[in-house]
Amino acid sequence: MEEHLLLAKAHLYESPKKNCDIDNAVYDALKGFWVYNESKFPCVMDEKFAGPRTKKDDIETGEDQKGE
Amino acid sequence: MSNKISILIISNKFDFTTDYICAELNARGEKYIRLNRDEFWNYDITLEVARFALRIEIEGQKYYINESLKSVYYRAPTFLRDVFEVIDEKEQLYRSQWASFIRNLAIYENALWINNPVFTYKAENKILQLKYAKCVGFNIPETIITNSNDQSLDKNKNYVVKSIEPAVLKINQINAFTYTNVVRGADIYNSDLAISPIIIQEYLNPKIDIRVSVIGNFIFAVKILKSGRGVDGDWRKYKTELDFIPFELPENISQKCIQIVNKLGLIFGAIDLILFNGKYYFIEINPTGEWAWLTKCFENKIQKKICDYLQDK
Repeated sequence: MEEHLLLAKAHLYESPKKNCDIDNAVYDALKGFWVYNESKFPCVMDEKFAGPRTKKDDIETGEDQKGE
Repeated sequence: MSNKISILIISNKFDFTTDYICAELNARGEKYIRLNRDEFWNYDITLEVARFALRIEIEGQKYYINESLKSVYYRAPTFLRDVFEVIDEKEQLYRSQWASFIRNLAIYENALWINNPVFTYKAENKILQLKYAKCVGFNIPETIITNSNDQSLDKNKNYVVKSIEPAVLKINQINAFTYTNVVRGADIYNSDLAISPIIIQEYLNPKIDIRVSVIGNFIFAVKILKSGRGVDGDWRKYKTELDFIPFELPENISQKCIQIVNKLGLIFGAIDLILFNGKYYFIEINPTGEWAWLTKCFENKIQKKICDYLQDK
């Protein structure tokens, strides 16, 4: 008998970086979103912001952030 | 002087999906507050149970919530997946007690929840999802859940094999995750499945994956293509080579998507469908599914629609 399929097919990956601050930006606790230091513009509304533009950021623990 | 809050948001500091919601609510001048699960130590929080009054202080600003709370945007897990890491006693206490605290915000029963964690908990179950999908008239792939390889499978055919729940593992101290895999029947026969059940489904190929974000009665659907064609196997394995193409689902399929979200007691649901041989098949629904990766495709309409619901517009 071979190993269980879910173990045999498991994808191994490096631990994702956690709690990385963003260059030139700060989290505004009163507004509830990250803003650029100087402009105070919401980072996520910036075309160049490398936030969750694809689903790739959440593939490893599922979509629900249950893997804490 | 305390600010009365109409919309409560539960999330964490690095959940940029929530940033879209807060930025939109801020632009609308709404009275909202975002509590991050990873920042509770920065808040002063008191809940007066007799009056359902929640008082919060953040960076010197005072807020309060009472039973007139309009809505809750809940970006938090309903149950935690064990990732087998060692944490100290402070972290253990933090996780268990704050998790319970936010669950107890269920006292705000008159608020609209996107989504209510009670319903999310139920809706997270993939087998139940398939039952409900069939009930509302979706096609579903032939599916068995088993820990036995003694099945009447064709050894020469391909099957889809996946976990019942995202399997987050540590293998020799290295993180591991199981994608959906295409496996020969012979390999299933040769595998020792006794320790854990798996889902075995008929292999629908060639197929086009479709992601449907449902918000109440509104639908945002994309086809997922690679070089103009559907992806064989799990499209999540391809990180940057994919195109997400908005399109209109047939009306009867849109209605089924809305129905299953509603039947599960949800407002929001991210549904995975497959188009195979001209027919749409339901694969699964994610009650806490991601949508921020689609904001550009839909010109920010997804977060605007979620905010409409939160504001009861």
